Amino acid sequence: MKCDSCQEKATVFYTQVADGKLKKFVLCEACAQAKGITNPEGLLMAEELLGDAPQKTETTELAAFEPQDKCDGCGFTLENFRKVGRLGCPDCYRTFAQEINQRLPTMHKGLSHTGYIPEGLIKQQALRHELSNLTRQLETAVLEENYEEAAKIRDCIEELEKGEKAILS
Amino acid sequence: MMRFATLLKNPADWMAAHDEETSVVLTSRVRLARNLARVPFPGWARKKEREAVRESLQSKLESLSGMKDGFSHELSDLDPLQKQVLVERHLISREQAARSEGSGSVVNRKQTLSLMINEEDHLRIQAIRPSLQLREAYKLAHSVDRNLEGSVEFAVDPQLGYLTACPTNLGTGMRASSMLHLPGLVLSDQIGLVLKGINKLGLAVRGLYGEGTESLGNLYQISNQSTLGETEEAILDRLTKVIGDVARYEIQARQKLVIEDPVMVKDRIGRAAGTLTYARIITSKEALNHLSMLRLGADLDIMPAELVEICDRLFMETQPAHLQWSAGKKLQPEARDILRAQMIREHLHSSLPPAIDISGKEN
Repeated sequence: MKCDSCQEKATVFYTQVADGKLKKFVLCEACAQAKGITNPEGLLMAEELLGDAPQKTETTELAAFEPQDKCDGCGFTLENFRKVGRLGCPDCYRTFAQEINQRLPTMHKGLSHTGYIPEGLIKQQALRHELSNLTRQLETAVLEENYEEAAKIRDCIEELEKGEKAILS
Repeated sequence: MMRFATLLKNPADWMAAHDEETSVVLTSRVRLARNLARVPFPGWARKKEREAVRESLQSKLESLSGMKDGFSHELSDLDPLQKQVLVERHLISREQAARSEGSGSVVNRKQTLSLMINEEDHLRIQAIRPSLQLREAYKLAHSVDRNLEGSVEFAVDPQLGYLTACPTNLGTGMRASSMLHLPGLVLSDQIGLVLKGINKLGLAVRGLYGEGTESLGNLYQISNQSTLGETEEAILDRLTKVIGDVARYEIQARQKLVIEDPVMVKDRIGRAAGTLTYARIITSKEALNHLSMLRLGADLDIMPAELVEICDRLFMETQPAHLQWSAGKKLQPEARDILRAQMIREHLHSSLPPAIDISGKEN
């Protein structure tokens, strides 16, 4: 797993919950030092820490709590949706999740898909699941200062990430 | 590549099949809505984006194994009449006919598969089979879907399934429907109750041409409403069961009518036969309603059996665009009504010759 700020190996895992938003990011030792993460006093807002760093941070899980009125992907607005009942692009489902989730129960028998999904996606999902498990294990190993184990897990993660790229490309 | 004229010359294979099974359930259709990941939906995409989607999809669709030698056109290349013919054949939707630029249609030779590009969604895969064969239709559409997976990345969310322009199609993206001929339930005044029951089960009932169209010729489409939260199999099983039940009610209603009210039934069928064999001017609506009665007569052995097939053909051939296509020109409604009456008389002549020839010198 690589540092969100530079391309070095990441060893610092940071999770922040603020304003109903969950942010996770990973940094290498040097970047963590530079951004003051190793100093508990320096745990400020993620934005301040990362500045304009590439946004690999995960904000999706809690995105529904922060309504947005325009889709970043295609520029479609919540007002458009309320007017025509249709969406601008696949990403709108994430942008307007809250509004859409309110409407789904009146349209459908259930709220989650149980039908067919493409094979590639199944593999990809399994891989992502595995990756998030390993990341958690890595965090624990680091916390326990079990560096030998952490290194092993880190290598596993690297292998899997290569595999994910192969599926996506 | 198949020409438009060739497509029209051949009836679709689901139009030609006839047996016990098709006496109530005429056809079964399944359509899957699919969209490309990260690309704006057709209704919101710019012209350039729509054009790019059409180009990339059309060539992929044409090269699918089952689509070789099929019909493939950009809709803006077709004139309004040709588009209307495709709508009447259920090969494209009314919405797609209205939305031309960057929109395309790929149909296989047998007209069992119709792939619509840039309708409401980037791609709609539709399969049509005769009688109550929803599972078979799904298999056919699903095989196209799977074949495309290798070369197209569809927009899928692990939680919400296939992402569609309208959230009402979310999840499976599947709409399955059957077309039913229900004159028995209409004549015995049970249709309202049956339709209400179908609605209560979470299924939709529509007229001949889908959403917002009125029922003509006692033809009804029953389809699933919900697309999220159940597997395709569960949806198809429930629909198949309900449609099978409705078909049985229809048969019972017909049998009951023949026993309890034979004079009324024969009166309706006889009047329809009389009108159709002698009329010189007939609207599409009137034609559909009489053809429905004539078909009932044939199903009940009151009329010659071969009329079932002839009526089904005429259901399609007497629609305004088909009629004008066969005339080779655009016609005013009055002229269409005259041509329609003539076409019906010609088709019925061998089975139902008029007792008196009133044609004289005119046509």
